[in-house]
Amino acid sequence: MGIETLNYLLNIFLNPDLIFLIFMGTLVGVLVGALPGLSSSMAIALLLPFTLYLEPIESIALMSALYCAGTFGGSITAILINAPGAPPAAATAFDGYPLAQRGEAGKALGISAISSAIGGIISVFALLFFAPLLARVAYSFGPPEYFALALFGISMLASIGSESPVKNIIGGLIGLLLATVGIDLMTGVERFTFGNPELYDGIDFIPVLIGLFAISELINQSLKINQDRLALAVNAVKLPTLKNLKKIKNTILRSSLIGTFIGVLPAEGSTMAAMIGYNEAKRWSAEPEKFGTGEIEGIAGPEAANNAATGGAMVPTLALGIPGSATAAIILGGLQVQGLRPGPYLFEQQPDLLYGIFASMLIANILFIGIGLYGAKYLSRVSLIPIKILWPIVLCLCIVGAYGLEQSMIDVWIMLIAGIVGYLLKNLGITPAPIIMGLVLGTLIETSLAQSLILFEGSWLGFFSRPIALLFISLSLVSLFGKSLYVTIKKYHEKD
Amino acid sequence: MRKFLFLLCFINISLFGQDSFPDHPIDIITHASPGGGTDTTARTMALAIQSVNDVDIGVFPRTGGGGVVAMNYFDRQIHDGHNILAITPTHLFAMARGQSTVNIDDLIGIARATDDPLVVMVHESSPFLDLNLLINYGKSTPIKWGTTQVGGVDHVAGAILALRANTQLDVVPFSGGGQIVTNLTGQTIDAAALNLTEAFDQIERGIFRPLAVLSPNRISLLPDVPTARELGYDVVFSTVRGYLVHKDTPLEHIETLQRIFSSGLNNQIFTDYLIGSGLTQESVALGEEWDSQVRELYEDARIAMLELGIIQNPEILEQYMSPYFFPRVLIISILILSLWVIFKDRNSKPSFELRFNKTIGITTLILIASGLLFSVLGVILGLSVLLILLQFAWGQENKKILFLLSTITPIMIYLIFSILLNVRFPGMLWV
Repeated sequence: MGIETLNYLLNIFLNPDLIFLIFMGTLVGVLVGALPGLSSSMAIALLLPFTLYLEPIESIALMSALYCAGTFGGSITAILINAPGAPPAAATAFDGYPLAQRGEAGKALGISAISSAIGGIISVFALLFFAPLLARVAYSFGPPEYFALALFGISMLASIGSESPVKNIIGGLIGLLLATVGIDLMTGVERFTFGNPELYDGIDFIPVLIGLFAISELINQSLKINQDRLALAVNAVKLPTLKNLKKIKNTILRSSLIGTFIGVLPAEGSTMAAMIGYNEAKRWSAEPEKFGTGEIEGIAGPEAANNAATGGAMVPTLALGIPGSATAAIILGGLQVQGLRPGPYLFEQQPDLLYGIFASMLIANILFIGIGLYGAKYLSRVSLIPIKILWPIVLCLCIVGAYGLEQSMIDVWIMLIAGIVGYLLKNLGITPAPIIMGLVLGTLIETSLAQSLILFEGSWLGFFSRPIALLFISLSLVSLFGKSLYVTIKKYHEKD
Repeated sequence: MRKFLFLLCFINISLFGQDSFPDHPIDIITHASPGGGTDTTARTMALAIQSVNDVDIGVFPRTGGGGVVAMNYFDRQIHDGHNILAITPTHLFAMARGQSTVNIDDLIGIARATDDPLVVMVHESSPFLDLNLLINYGKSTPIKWGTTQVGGVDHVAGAILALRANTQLDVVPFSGGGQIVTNLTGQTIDAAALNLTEAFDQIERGIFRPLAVLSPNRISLLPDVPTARELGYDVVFSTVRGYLVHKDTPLEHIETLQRIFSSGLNNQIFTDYLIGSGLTQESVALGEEWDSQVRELYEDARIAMLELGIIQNPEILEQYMSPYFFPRVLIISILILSLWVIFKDRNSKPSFELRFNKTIGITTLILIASGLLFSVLGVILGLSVLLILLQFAWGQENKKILFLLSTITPIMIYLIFSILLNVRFPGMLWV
């Protein structure tokens, strides 16, 4: 870190507007993370129309603080209600809830806060170190490399979440198809606009996003309007004792590294990281049989990993413009709406953006310890707000947010349609996350393919002359077919 | 006394009524991604304008479609002078091809900021030491020519050069000058025609080698670089960057804008920018002069398009990959995978089990109605009705909550969005 870096960071720490936004982002993030049904992805989607009124650096500071804090917030409800407030916290409930049931909710929350923060901070430093490095490598990337990378990102969708890999890929392809609506950047030909000038510039990203994440969830929540939830009592959140810390320090470190690595992989985010973090904590533990009964390593494992994935996910997002997770895809979309084009060029032009993200994620990771320690008591109550009151308000925000973007009713209709279709798709097992990934990568994957073909004078074999592109295409094939190949080979051997 | 007060009120009203333009931030709608010449020029001008006027002015990029996206976006805005279209030859070409909803006759010129000649450039390690070498190479293998936009000025300049020099050219479109610089550096493309302002820095640092200037005469900053005309190819193209408003804009707003722009473009900040990027104050033109030039340029653009056959046959831009290829591949893949899921994928959870009940049905209906309610009744009343409906459907029994929720929420939303963020709602307060 040179003087210049410190100078950038100092500028951010001394900017009261930015600090205020980061604080608000953290607070809102923990809150929505704690509310079952509301996730940080949805909160960022709802905030996007507002962020257009901010400077790029302010908007990204707000979004990334929210991303970090939302990932932590989910654990509060996972521990107290046994319902993860957001998908990444699902694994936290395995041991967090049993521990809280034993009357040690305060201890569980304390461990979750500390592990999350450490995981997050480690990954933020990884971001500061690797993102510029990757950007420098990417400087020599041409269209074929970008095409291969984007393809790799889409293929990685096969292994996000617990849904069927094929369905995730279908979701990604639907997103890619949606992105082709509008004028083709290569030829200027109109596609799927049906003569409607509102669609010339393509389907707006934000209304689709709000529809898929918020409106479809609203329909889903209408099934649960009469459910009552019960929160376990929490008196005071306790910071873990030294003895406890000693016990979990290896788990935290391991999970942080796993989480960061998984975050860096395109498309794979916090949910995946938490699952692997939990499994690895169990595998390395001296007493794996205790897992599931309130073991503190079982809380530290997933929590450190899912927060570590946030910093990791921002690495390819900023350096290459390839989102590292679904939430990062939304942040990337938000930057694109601002007119910014993440990639190596952005770093040279606006280095302060990188430091802005670094600083805001760092501050958010420290802030939510405080919010978690002192606010968990109130947050657990907030999470019990009846659906009947919460979701109608969310609906109003959705409509106004979608409308306010360009002040056009078409956007409201797009949002409503996306919501209803999104609900139907969710019932068929196609979740919004891969669709959003596809939508964000759509233009990149298509134009880079067309550009590559021109460079190769129309020959598809040209990709063989580009080693880096070839590497990523092979990796895509592995991530698509590797598992089924492995299973087939194993079956074959078993037969023998 | 009363009469005096009355008069005072009147003066007040007329004062605020007249001078309220601009009453919210002015948007300069550009087509370029940040980092390119058009973007930098607009941003510097905005900065210069703000330094001498109490006006909030910003750059609003709507990238894509060779400026068509930006033009159509501009066309959809309210024409009160708060939306200004930044125009380059690219826009004029697109307009000449009839791609945009905006027509040259719909526009009135405010000012021209730059007249920026194109320079044909290669990477410093490239084997093409002069333009003729490049052209001769192209006779056997097509030159890979990077452009910022399909149908953009650098594209047309390359195509006209190839036509005049009887050589071959493959156009590789990117989405901005920034990407061209990256790809020229990475040598994925052979050559490109970049604006002097975009490339001067790289020329000076020795990263790029200028082969020819596409201006009528040599330019003072590159005295050793010949013009294309000197080399025997009559190709003259420059990127003019100017600003226009819609002809429906009130006349006094146009005059205010011309005054504001003139003060900004003649400000030291902007002059320094021009000199720093290798241009002179002659780049700047105001009002009438620019207004008539933009019409001439449009005519030139139309002729160039006709010569290249682009107007008659836009498909000419299609290279190797049809614009329908990618969507078709996607649709076919989705169909194949869906069939696979239906017939083969037994591992996945039981699918096609649609959870449906009365509440979901009513909720969906209310959602569809909400779009209508919002556009017909306006923000406060519309959202109130929507909240009442939704709570009834979900069986909210507490009348107090129902009342409070459906009054306070819309009012809060109205205050936040309308007052704080300046969003113009349909019907606003139902007034």
